[in-house]
Amino acid sequence: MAFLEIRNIDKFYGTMQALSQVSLSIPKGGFVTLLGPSGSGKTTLLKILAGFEGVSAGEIRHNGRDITALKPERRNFGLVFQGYALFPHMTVFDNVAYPLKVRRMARDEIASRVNAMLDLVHLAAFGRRRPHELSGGQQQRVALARALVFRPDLLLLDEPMSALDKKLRGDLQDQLRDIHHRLGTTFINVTHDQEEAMHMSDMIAVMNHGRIEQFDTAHRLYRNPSSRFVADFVGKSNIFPGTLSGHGRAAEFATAEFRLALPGHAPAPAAREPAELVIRPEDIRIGRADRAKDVRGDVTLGGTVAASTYSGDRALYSIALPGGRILLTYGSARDGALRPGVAVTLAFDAADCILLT
Amino acid sequence: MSRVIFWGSVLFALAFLVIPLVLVMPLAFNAGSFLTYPMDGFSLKWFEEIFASGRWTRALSNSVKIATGAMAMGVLIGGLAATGVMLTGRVLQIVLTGLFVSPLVVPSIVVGVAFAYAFGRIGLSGSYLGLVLAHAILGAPLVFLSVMTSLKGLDPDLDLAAASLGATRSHRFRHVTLPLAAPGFLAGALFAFITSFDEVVVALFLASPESTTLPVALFAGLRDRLQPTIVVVALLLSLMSFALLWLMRRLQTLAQPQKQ
Repeated sequence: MAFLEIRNIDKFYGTMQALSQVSLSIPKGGFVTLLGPSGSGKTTLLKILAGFEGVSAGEIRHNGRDITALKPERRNFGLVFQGYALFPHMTVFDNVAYPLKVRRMARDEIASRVNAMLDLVHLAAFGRRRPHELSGGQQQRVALARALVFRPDLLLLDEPMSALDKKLRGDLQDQLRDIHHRLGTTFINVTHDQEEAMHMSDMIAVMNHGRIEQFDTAHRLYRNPSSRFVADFVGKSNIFPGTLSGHGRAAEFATAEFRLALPGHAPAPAAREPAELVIRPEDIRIGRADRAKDVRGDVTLGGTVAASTYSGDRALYSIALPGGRILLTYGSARDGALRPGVAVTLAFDAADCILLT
Repeated sequence: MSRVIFWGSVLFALAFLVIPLVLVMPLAFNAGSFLTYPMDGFSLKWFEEIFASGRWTRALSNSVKIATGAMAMGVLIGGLAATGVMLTGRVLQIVLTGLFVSPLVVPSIVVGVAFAYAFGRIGLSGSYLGLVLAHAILGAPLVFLSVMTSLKGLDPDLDLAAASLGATRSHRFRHVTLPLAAPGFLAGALFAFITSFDEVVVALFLASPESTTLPVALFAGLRDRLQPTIVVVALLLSLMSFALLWLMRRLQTLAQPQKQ
C-alpha cells in the first residue's frame, strides 16, 4: 500500500477534460514532481490533492483512507502557492504561527516551533516584518515555513520558483532539497521547468493533455522515454521519423538519411511499421569533414554547421544535413566554436539510440 | 487649448457647486434676523440660540441616535449580504447583487409612502425603531457595495491558503477575510451614517414631532421662520460632512499599506 495512491482520476470542466485516467503511487518521504507544459493538467491535479477541486471520477487514498471528498482543512497537507498567499495583515511570525494557532497549540510551543522553522529557512531575524517588506525569495521561504510548521503529511508546491530570477531559483532548489532531506516529509512539486524537476526530484511524472505520459526517475525519463512527447520535453533531442522492419533476426530502422540495425532494442517486427529514433545531442560525435577519419560510429553523416552557441565549457551546434534536417550536438570548444558553413562529419552508435514505436 | 477647456470646466463646475454655499454661509453670523445681504453686523447669537433651544438640540440628538442605529443595522445587513453573495455562483451573484442594490434605485418618495403605510399598520409609525429600520434599508446597499468591492479585491488564494493550513470556514472569515475587508466595512458604515443623517423624504413620512430629525427640522424651519438659525444648522452639517469625508480619506490611506 502506497503512502498516497491516486487512482483513475478524471476531471471535467464542462465538456473540457482536464485530467483523464490519472493514476500515481507516491511513496512516503519521496520528492515527486509533476512536470508538464501549461494546460497539461498538473495544476489541476495539485488542486485536487489539496482539496480545492473535486474529481469527476476516481479516488485518492492516503495511507489506505479515502480522502477524495475530504475538505482541505481536514487533510493536513501543506501548500506553497505560486503567489505565496501570505497574509498581508500579519507579521512573518504570525503568518508562520497561523496553522499552529488554528490547532490551538500552547503559546510557548507555538513560539519555539515557529522560531525553529524560521531558523530552518534562514529568516530568524525577520519575524516582526510584514510580508510586503520582504523580497520575493524571502516571501517564498516564509510561505514554505508556514506550510511546513504544522508537520503536514504532505507538502504541495505550486510552481514555487516561477516568480524568481534564475540565480535565486538555483539557491532555493538546493535549500528545498536540503529541507526535504532533513524533514523527510513527502513533497509534491508542480513545475514546467524540466531542469528544476531533474535537479530536485526522486521521481517525475511527465504530464501532457491531462494524462500522465511517464512516471519515472529523471535518469530513466531521459534515457528511456516512453513516448515522443517525453523524449522531446525532457532534455534536448534529435528525433528521426522512419520505419522499423525485420532484417534477419534484428530490427532495422530506416529513415531518409540512413539505415541502422538495432540489435537488442526491440524484437524484429513481422511487417514494416512506423517508428521514431531518438538520439541525444551529447551522444553524437562531431569533427571537421577534412579530418573525418577520427569520427567513427555505427552511423556517420555529413553536414554543415548552421549555427553554433558557445558557452565556454562546450559549444552547441545546429548541423544541417543535406536533406535539410537539423541535428543538435555538443562539441568541444577548446579551440573555439566551429563557424557556420564549415563541413562536418557526425557519428553515433546504435547502443545510444532510443527507439520509439 | 485642452488646458483652457479643462480649467474652464473645472472653474465653472466649482462656481456652480460652491458659490451658493459660500454666499449663504456668512449669514450664519448675521446680527439681524433676516436672510438678506447686506448683513447687519457680526454676531454669534444664532449659534447660542441653536444650542439653547430644545427644538434643535433634540432634533440633532434624534438624528445622531437614528443614524447610529441605522448604521449598525445597515452594516449588519449589508455586510452579511455581501459576504454571503461572494460565496454564490456567478449568475446567482448578479441576481442577488441587483436585489440588494435595488433600494438605491427606488424613488425615496415611494419608499417613504410604503414605509409610512406599512409601519402605520403595525404601530411603528413615528417611533425611533421605524426610522432606524427605514434608514438601515436605505444604507444597507451602500454597505453592501463597499464591502463587495473590498472582498472582490482580496486575493482568493488567501482563503485557500488558510484552508490548507487547517482553518475552518468561520475561523478563516474571522481571522483572514474580515480583517482584510475592514476598510470596506468602515467606509460602508460611514456611508450608511451619512445617508441616514441627510435623509429628508422618508423621515418626513415617518417622523413624529418627538422623533423629528435634523433635516426635517431644517425643512420645517425653512417654511415657518426664515431665520439665520437654519443657516447655522446648515453650516454645522457641512462641517460635519467635511469631517466625515476627511475621516474616510484617512481610513483609506491607513488601509493602503495592507495591500501589497
